[in-house]
Amino acid sequence: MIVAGGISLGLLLGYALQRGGYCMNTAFRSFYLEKDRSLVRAWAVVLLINVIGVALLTELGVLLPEVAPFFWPAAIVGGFVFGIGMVLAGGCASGTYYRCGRGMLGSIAALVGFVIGTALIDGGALVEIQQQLRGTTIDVSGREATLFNLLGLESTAARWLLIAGISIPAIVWLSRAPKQRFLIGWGWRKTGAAVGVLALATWVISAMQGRDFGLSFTQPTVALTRFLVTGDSAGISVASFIVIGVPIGAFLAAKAAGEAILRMPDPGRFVRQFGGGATMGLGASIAGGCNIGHSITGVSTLGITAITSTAFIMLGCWVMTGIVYRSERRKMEAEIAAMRSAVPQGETS
Amino acid sequence: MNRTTVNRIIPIVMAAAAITLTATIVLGIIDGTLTGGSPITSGQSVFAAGGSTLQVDEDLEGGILVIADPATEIRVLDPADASERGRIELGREPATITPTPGGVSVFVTFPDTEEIEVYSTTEFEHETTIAPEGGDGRTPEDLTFSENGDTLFVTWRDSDAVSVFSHSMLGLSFRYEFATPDAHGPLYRNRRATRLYRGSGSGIEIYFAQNGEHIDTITLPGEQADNEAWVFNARHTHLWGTDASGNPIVVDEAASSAREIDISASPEIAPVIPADTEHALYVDAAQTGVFAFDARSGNRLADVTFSEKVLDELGGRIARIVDTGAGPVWAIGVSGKIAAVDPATLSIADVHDAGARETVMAVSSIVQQDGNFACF
Amino acid sequence: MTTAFGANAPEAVNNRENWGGIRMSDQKEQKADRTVDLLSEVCPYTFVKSKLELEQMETGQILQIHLGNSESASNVPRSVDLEGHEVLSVDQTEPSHWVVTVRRA
Repeated sequence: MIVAGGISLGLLLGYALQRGGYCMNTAFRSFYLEKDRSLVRAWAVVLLINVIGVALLTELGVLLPEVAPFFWPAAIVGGFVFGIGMVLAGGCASGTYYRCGRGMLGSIAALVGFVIGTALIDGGALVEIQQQLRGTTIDVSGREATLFNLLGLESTAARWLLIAGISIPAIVWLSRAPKQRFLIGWGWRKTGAAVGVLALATWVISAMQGRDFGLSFTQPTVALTRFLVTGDSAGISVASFIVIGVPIGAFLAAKAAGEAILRMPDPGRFVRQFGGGATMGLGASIAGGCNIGHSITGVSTLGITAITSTAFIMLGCWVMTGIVYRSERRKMEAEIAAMRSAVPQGETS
Repeated sequence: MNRTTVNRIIPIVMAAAAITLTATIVLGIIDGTLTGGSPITSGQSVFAAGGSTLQVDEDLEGGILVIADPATEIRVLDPADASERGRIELGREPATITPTPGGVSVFVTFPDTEEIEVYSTTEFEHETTIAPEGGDGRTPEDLTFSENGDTLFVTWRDSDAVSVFSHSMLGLSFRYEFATPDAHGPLYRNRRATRLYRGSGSGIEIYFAQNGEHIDTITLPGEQADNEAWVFNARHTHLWGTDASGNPIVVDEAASSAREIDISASPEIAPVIPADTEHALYVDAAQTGVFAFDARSGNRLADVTFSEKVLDELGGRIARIVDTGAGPVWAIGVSGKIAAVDPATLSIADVHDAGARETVMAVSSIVQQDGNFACF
Repeated sequence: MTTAFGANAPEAVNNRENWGGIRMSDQKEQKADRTVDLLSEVCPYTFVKSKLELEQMETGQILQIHLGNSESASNVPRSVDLEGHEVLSVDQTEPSHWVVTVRRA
């Protein structure tokens, strides 16, 4: 039943991600380069649903969220590396998964890279890096590293006060959003609500399996790979089934919209996306999570490691986007200079 | 397949997926997997005599590990009827037996060596020998696994040190070691194994498990019983132990405070808290019956004195109680016979003769759940 | 080059409301001054290249951007619009091919 539930959730999630074009790479980048905040708003809706939902489920005793220890060097380095990889791969961990389902071969290359990257660290040749960076942890009064514990909030009322303090400004900001134009597929409200509810549902069906964590892509990918390669089923959980369902759901959504098509990027871009995927894999394994495990699920528990990691994923994303932007501009300027010196012509193709 | 057919099928697939997902969650709520078992009931009415509805899933792996006579072997008993599934030959008397959280292996220590022997509880064979790095010839005293099995905490005989190991596939890699001055006895961990608790006679010392820092001391209302036994409820909100005169002590994990319940329980026999009821069960001082408390509120729910017929079978006294992790709790009598007790109603379902005479140790090694992981 | 939507175009694109009032036929007569093919590109390259192309152009000139995925076809016009340029149209010409026409501000 849980397997069926997991695959169903994955199908729905893949469908929602594809219909909503839910790309966290774009959301993170938009702070730096663009003025459009639609995907940031979608992310905020997801967090809003999950911060409140997870706190409620915890209060009801359904789950006790697992929170990463505050191994700050790993969160910083891993997050930054992941952010860089995400730009090169042309999509975050979840984005790569759902674009694979749509038939984008570049994303399939990125996924293969991601799998290799994670395998190199988790029990692989580069495991030492992870161990070194995770060796230093900061103690938050001897409890899990969450904002609740950092602020010393013991009582239920104080915890909910903090949640209200975070949620209310977010709701006010969201309510002032301008109309989203040029929409293809779902708008940010619908996308955020769908992804948010499915992320929360993941917590619930995971709890039924004794797994106190929500949606994630990194660990389930590692576990799935290990299972397929060595037959060792340790670590296979409902999240692994979700990961299987996502590309299928995305394929169905793309098929319905007539967007499912095998598309091969040019060789350079193909290699770049593969390298980006591998870099993402390394980063995610060091930091202990990706844009989903940390930036959605971890942040929902107000985990300090997740918040730190997310900040550095953003920073890595901005730095790499800046590099790409500058190098593309230089390339274009060189092209124009070359053209001017040859036959003066106004158009390129 | 033409496009209209495709467009008609896809929403149906998605609707089916949504229904399956909803059904999974609803079923989880109905069968109690989500809420952690039946709600706690109190009052005498639930303790009606008669047949019990205890059921044990037959597909469970592992078993109840009992060290009886001779003490050089582990008997693996079926939790349903206490029948013997097999015996693990140790060759000598063990110091401790600790099942892995997965339940299919057991770590065994011996009084005179730092090496840990690992045996399979399903094949009853020796699997591997682990010489823990940093053991330095010391002898392990107690082993404590984190809930997901990725970490093992080892305490040593004649040393106040605690060593922390990463555990994977029956291999240990040393992480660090820290000292616990004045503390002794087994270690207890909170649910995430972020905190470790160790008794120091009149108090419980708390350490941060990620760097070994001493955080706090909980002062106990009375001197701790010699058995040094504590047990957490499944949600790890309350730690239950006993003082030297047999009064149960409840420690509130979040508040780091302890209180005593004035009732005479046996100071020798360790209490148990089955996960599906969260009832803290104590054997009374006369060792002829059981007290039940709500593990979270500390409310006394009920107590029963076993009937003379049952006590006769048990040899007159209860020697220990074991949480089988699979439904019933076993009250093992001095005769070696086992009474299967329903932890919700305290009614006795069955009395089995498992030949577990002179039981010196008994632990559950049942696989209940699959999927509790360290990474994201 | 730009044809009407196929029967399978996503609803929202067909929905005029989401178009900011731009009529489909407006751009049919438009002649592009520049064309950029980003069919096999993904974010952030789609936006970066579109932005750079626009920077090279003069006010009033028209840029035609060819995009190969729905996210880009949704995000690029929105971002370009917020940069102050005028998005004349977004057309899905094939199942996985969108053409965005922009007038440089």
